[in-house]
Parts: sequence; structure tokens; C-alpha cells
Amino acid sequence: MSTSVNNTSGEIRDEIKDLETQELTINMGPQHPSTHGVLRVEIVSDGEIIKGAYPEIGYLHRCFEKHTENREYLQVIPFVDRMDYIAAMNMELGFCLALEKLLQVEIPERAQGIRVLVSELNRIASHLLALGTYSLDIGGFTPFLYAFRDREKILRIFEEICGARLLYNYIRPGGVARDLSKSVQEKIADFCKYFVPQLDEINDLLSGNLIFVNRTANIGVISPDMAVAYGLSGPNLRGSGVNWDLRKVHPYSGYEKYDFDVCLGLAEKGVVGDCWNRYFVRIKEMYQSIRIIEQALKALPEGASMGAVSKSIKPIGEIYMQTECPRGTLGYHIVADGTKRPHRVKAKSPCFIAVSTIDEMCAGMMLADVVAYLGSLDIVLGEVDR
Amino acid sequence: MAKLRTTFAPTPLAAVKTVVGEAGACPPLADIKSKAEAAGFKLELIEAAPSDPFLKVKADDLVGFLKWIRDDLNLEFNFLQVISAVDFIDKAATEDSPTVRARMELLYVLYSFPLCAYLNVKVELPRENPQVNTVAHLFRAANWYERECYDMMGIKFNGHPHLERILLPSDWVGHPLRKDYVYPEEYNGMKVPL
Repeated sequence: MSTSVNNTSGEIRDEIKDLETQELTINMGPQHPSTHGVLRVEIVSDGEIIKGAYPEIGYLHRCFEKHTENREYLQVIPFVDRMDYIAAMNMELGFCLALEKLLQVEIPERAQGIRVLVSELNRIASHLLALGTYSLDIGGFTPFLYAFRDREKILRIFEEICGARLLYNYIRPGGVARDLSKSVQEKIADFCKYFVPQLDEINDLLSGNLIFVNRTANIGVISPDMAVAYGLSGPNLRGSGVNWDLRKVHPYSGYEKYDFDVCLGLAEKGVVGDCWNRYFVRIKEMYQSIRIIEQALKALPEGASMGAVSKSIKPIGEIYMQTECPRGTLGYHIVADGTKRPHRVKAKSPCFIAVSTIDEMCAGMMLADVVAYLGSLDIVLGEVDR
Repeated sequence: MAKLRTTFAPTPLAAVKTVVGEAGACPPLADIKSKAEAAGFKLELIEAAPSDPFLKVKADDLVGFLKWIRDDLNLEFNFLQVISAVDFIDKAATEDSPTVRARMELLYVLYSFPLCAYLNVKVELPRENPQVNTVAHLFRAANWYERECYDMMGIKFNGHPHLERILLPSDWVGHPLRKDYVYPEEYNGMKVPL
């Protein structure tokens, strides 16, 4: 083939006139770095435009739900850690709250305070990872390093609290496994003081950055109606402007005592429900989490960190309970038949349903925007596949 | 040629904040039940603390009931949270637990923004060849939840647009979350460790 398309007179040559276009099927993942795990998206593209995108999941499927049926209740907690390994405290909290509701036990005030502290710290760590990797997907390397530097500080605190950095097994039915020492409390207070200016810096660096805004604003717009129809939750739902935060609407663990705002996508850039707004909801939520942590630290009462709950628990009944996790509302459906082992544990994963939107949302997008869209959903495949 | 989507109707900011109602606005479940009965559905209200209360619907009524409760302007249970399937096999009573009758149960958890409340709807299916009509056309979320129930429990959803395995490979045999599931010894020539 010759090198130029047009000849000197500006006409298209005959042999090029007859060239046909063809659809191309591309497999994105499961090893693609921007899929945040082992997700495969089968993309049918027409040039740079996507005709269809079909997500394939299950590469990380461990059938956690089957495992739980052969384990005692306390042995299930390490399994729920391994669903969303980025925010394991929040996974444990939901499971323990559901169990406690079945057992109808009182949780000591101090344990509730500690639970709020660790789950909000974990929310910050999770959002930092989300925005760090998101900027990496878009092409900004520096915010990733900033985010991981600060996330490391939270992981150090967790290491001191319970000995583990990612998979904690810390929150137990009845309270928490270990009390919070004075030195850890000081470290958390120091972290709050340290973190707010750092977050300002990340925010200044990334949120208004023209390249970042051009890549994310007005891309992948999910309307509020669509978000509700898909059952999205967490920052993905609030980014579409739906004011629904379980910590506010159905408070648990004493969240009603703390003063914080629900963060919504308010179209400071782009339109409500686009990738930029979902990202910015996470930035705003981190400021609110710091507010909650500061209040919880101040109000942390003295007392026991573990309630009177038997080591071998045998609840009976059926319950569905949801809590607000960094990635959305995580629900546990527990069917307990009065024996030591659960009859059935079903986890409702917010990421599972976020992945299911790819099919409809990505059709008609540019190829490069799929990465921007996937990153803005903030999925963790451990939770999608369970 | 595929068409590039470039313009979106922006959501007006005034419409954004007003979605959620006041806590405690939900009428008691018995009221919802009597309202649904007036609309012609046969329901059963089952309450046994500490379990969640739930409404039990006949499998034939399910789609009609969910559509009604989604579209009724005073209820608006339009936010599907989860579809969860539970398998029960015959079990005699023991010291801890009562007798269990063989059955398959489907739990639909819905949420209403104006009422600020959850609603649990339950359907009972036979264990042999369980099937029910799909609600994927009512809730987009149901599409994948139903596929998961099919994959894990073998419940067939009639009319589902794409009822295939979702988490397991398409050539997997059996439905692992059923209580009588037999663990395979090998898969495609690979030994399955137990």
C-alpha cells in the first residue's frame, strides 16, 4: 500500500475507496492493570467507538458462601475479610452487626466508638487507594505516590491495633478483639492533624487538573434514575446525586451521635453522575471521615471493649442487614438454624452491581474512556466474585 | 457505524437533593399488606423476632406484586437491594433446631426512598425443578442477581434475557450452594483439591 491516502489532486484513490471497516473484538483483562483485579471485559469496537462491552467475572471466585456453611460463626470473620481486602474492617463490621441483631446483644459504648474509628480510618485508606489508582489509570503518577504514602500511615496504625495490615479479624460479635491503647489514640489524633493538609494538597493537585478533568468530566454519565434502577450504592449512587447514606438514614454503631454531611455529586465540574463527580464524592467523604474520627476520639468513653457474648454462638432466625462500606452498601443475608454453623450466608456486594452497569454504559463510548469509567466505579474484584 | 454518545441532559441540581424522605415515614407492614390485598394479591405476613418480618407471595403473583409495589406512588419500592436464594432439605428436629421442610426460598429486598424503609418479599419454590418468572424487566439490578441465583442454586428464571452462569465456568456441572451438592473430583482433567 502506498503511504498517502490522497493523491496530489485531493481525490481519494479507487483502491482506498473500496476498503471496508470491520468490527474488532478486544479482550481487556483479566491481566489489564486498569481493571483493578481480574476482570475481563470483552469489547466490540468499531474504530475508536465501542459497540458493546461485556464484563466477564468469576476469576477470583472462591465460593465464600459455601465455605461459611462449613464453618462456625467466629470462623467466618476471616472469610469476610477476604472479600473486600481494601476495606476489611467495614466487611467485618457488617457481618458482626447482623449477627448481633440476631443474638440481640448489647454492645459496650467503647466498642462502638472503636468500631466507628477503625471503619472510618479504613474508609479513608480505601478512598486513598481508589483515587490513587484512578489517577494512575488516567495517566497521573504523582497523586498515586501521595495517596499511598498516607495510606501507609493508616495501615501502620492498624498494625498496632490488631497486628495485621490488610486482613484484620478485629471486629468480633460483641465488640472488638482488643482494646485501643492510649498511644494508638494519640497516633490517630496526630494522623487527623497531619492528613487534612495532605488531602488539600492531593485535592489541589488532581481535582482541578485540566488533563484529569478533560478525561473524566462528562464521561460515563449515570442519571439518578439509572443509578437507582441498577441498585448502585455508596459514592457511585451519591455521585449521581441521590442523597442516600446509611450512616445517616439508618444509623448503626452510634453514627447518629456524630455530626457529618452526606457528600453528593454537585457538578462542580462536568455534570451530575459523571466520572469526575463520582471521584470528587470520595474526596469530600474523606474530609467527613476525618470529622467523624475526631469526634469519635473525643467522645470515646472508658469501659469494656467486649460485651458478654458466648464463644460458641448459636443464633436462630433470618436477617438481612446493610452497612455503608467505602464502595457502597454491603448487605448480609444470614439464615441461622440454631446450630453452631450458619445455614446460609449471602453477601450483597456493591461492586457486583457496579460491574453489571458496564454493559449498558460503555456502549457508545470512546475506547480510552472505558478505563476512566471502570476506575471511577472503584471496584474490588475480591468482592465482586466473593 | 457505531454512534458516539457525546451529549447528556444534565440533571438539574434542584432535583438532586430531594430524593430521600423522613425516617419513620413507613406505615406498618400490616397496612402495606392490606393495601396489597385490596389490589388483589394474596399475601402472608410472617413476623418472628429477632428475624426480619417479611411478606410471602405466591410465585405466580411475584412479578405483578413487585411491579405494583414499585409503581404505587405512595410506596415506591423501586430500589432493589438483593435477590438471595436459600435451599432447605428435609431435616428432623434436633436439640437446637426445629424440623425443616424441603423447599427453596427466594428473598427480594426492596427499598423505598420516600418511605425510608426496607421491604422483604419472599417466594417459596419446590426443590425439584425450581422456576419463577424474571423481574429483570422491572429492575435492571435483577439481571445479574438472577444469573447468580441460577448459577449457585439452579433456579430457573423464565423470560430472563441472558440466563447463563456468571461466577462459575460455563461448563461446570451442578449448582454448588444447593445442600445436596456433590463436590466434583476433577474439572477438565484437573484434580479438585478438597
